[in-house]
Amino acid sequence: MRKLAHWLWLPPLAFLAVFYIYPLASIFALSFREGWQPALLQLLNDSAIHRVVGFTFWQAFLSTALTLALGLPAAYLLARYEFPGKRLLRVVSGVPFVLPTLVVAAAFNAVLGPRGWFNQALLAAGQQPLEFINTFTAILVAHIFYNTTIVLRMVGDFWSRLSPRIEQAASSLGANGWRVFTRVTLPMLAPALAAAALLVFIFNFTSFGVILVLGGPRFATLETEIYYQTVALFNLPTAALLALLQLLCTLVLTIVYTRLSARLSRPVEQRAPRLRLLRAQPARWLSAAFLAALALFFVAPLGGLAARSVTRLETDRRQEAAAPGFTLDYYRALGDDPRNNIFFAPPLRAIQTSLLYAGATVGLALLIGLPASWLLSQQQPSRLARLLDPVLMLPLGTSALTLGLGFIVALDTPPLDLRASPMLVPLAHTLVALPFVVRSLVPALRSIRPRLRQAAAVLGAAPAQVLRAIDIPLVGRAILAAALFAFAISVGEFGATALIARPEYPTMPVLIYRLLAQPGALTYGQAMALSTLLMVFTGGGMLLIERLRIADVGEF
Amino acid sequence: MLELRNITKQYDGKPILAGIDLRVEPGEVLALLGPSGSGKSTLLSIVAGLETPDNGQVLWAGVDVTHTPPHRRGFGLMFQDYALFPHRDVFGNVAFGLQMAGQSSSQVAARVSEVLHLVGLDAFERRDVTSLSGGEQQRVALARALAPAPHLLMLDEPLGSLDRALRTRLLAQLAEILRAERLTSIYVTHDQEEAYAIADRVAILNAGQLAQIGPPQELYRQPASEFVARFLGMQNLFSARIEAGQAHTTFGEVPIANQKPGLATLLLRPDSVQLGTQGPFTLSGTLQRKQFRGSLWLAEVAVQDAVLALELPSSVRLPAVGESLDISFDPAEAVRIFRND
Repeated sequence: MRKLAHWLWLPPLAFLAVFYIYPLASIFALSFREGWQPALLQLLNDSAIHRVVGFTFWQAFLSTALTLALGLPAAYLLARYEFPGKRLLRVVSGVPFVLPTLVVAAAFNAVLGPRGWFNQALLAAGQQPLEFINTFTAILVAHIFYNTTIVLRMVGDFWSRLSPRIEQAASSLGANGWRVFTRVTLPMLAPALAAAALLVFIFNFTSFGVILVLGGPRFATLETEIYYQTVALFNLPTAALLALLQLLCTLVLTIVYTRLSARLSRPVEQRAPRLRLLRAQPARWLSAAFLAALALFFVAPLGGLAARSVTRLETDRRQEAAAPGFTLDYYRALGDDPRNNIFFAPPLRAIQTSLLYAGATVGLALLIGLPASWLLSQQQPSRLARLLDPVLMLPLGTSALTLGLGFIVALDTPPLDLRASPMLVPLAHTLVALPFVVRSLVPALRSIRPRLRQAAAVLGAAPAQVLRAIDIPLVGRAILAAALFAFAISVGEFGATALIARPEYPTMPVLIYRLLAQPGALTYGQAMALSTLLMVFTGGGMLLIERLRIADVGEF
Repeated sequence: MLELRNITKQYDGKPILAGIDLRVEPGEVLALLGPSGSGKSTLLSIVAGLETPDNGQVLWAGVDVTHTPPHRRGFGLMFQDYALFPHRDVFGNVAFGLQMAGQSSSQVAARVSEVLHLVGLDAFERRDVTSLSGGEQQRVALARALAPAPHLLMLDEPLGSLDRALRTRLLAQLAEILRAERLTSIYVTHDQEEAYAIADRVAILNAGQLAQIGPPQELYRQPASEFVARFLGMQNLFSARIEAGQAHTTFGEVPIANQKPGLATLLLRPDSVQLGTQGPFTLSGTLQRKQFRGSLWLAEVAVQDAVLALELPSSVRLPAVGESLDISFDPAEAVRIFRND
């Protein structure tokens, strides 16, 4: 058994070495191909790079601050009060987080874009349309939309565990409301607040799809600049340098975050206090209005997207006869190639491509994730296992663009020329999915305590029956959940795919991006329909994962 | 019936069980009592077949089952942490053993509702086991162990993780169920009150060896060793030097018969001492503390350098704390000597 354990490390280790370490090393090599000085000089002197870095930090900072401003009052209300629809608000706020960036971009486009609900209504009323797409506001709003749930969950959960007695003690000692908040509540919340803020910042810092699609060409962050340098200018050395800078920043941020969240797990006060009902009349109505607006903010874009995909708001030049109103034309048109050139595959083929890639990703991720998870779930993991646990999580701290660039730089020359291989995209997706797959498998594998097998044996189950009745059902669900994770990540992945997908075989997110950039009502409708389908695929996958989770399968 | 012969087990060279001989008669409830680490759970695992002994034999009805795998023994085991199957509901858990025995689904359904009724969980069949309270989980685990009608039911600290009030209530129900089903059972616990309440006989295990085995009253009246006396929570244990029919202790000399000179530990039963001088042997002391407990007084009396804890009937009139009083007892009944040499 011990011997086997050492061999089981081989697949995950080899995979990470070839598809993670080697590409990153290639980025290093490319950046420093002429030594340290030229690279350093370019970093120091290139004012374009300075602007990009400055804007990356600025948008991430502003997005984070606004997310906190919106999330904290809601976290407070969730933590301290009972109100109807509370569970629903929690669920609804979490939905954007699991959706692909292209779905979110398309959703905001469906509501506030030039062809969206709001502007079509303005046009119909003879008003000037509102400019939202390709503005800084769009970036900020989408980031808030994505990350508010982090504040609600991390700060809200922590807050709800803080006993209100501590605050009551402070006010009995003479502190007024403001002082209780600043001197008692805020310091106690600080670790959760800092960890949530940092996590939101990291997500905003590495955000790609939102900035590319909603911000447009006027806004360049490290991520979009890597994309631009690679795809448009084919300036790989500069892209590599930017990727290195990005890697350094995320590395520092991730290390600080890990430190902070370790402090967070130290319980302050574990007893859940009884929740109150908000009674004071003005506060009550104000809170209700705020929470309702928040819920609407989470629901409206997604609902707007789905509705827009089945509603014609304007007549297409090519379809003069078609009247505005309910239509399934956009779905019927999924088989049509809108532009009929190499960059515009019919949406149906993109769906096919995405599903094939997702299938391959699921297979690969399980092939590599299962042995790794099995080893990590052992009662006494070997020293190797403990070392490789953080290594497996590494891709999580690396931006998708950096991973994609690494593939381009490293895997296009012999001995590993995978440029034309259909496995290139699934390999990248597997890298992105692996941490999630491992994280969902390990607790499930751990939950199969030897006790359960013993209990089954004592009840008369022969070894084969134990396998069938205990091991397979318990692991089976976990494997299914992990597979769904890999599937949802693969169909939604945009950053790495945008760099490495073959032009004639775009995936769903890549094609949505292309369609949104094109004129024409039918093209727009196709984008809406394709985005809605992608939303259903990923949302449905995540919903299934929730349902598969065995309530209390963790450590006893 | 179950017979254990010279069961020995070591872990990493550390002896866990050192030669256990034990019989459990048909229909008997035997409590296995001992401090944690005394080897109770290991012994249970060996009987269940989850572990094999290094030496010795497990016999059931005269047949050696030492190397029979657990699923062919037909024994039931209720785990300390219940080990309920998280992916099966209450019905699925209770039905498991019956399904393994290949019973038809109508037989299974009938038996499941029968045992669920027995443990008071009617209408719980479709509940998710992870959503149940501790007491409910305990009863599901019991029902699951009972359902296949095992020849021998083993319970490993079944009430261990529950709170006091719930334990008392479930203990009474459990005793009733075991008696009603006339099940041959082994009940492992570290709580003497549980053992007294449920067992026909109690076996006390200490460091892998049987310290004493017998009915609860016998253990209480005649503990076989200082360990047993201490483990059963008896107070008034004093070291004593025995010379010429006298035990010399910190509270004076007590006459004792039939003991050779040497070192010993003396146990004075708290409930065999009376107030006044009517008994054969009298001591004088000072009342240090008294506590009224309804049916009795708990009194602490300082006699010379020792403090004796006494249980006196609540009908007696005790003097005020700090006043002197006489107590008397019959050494033959109230005193027990454990030799230390």
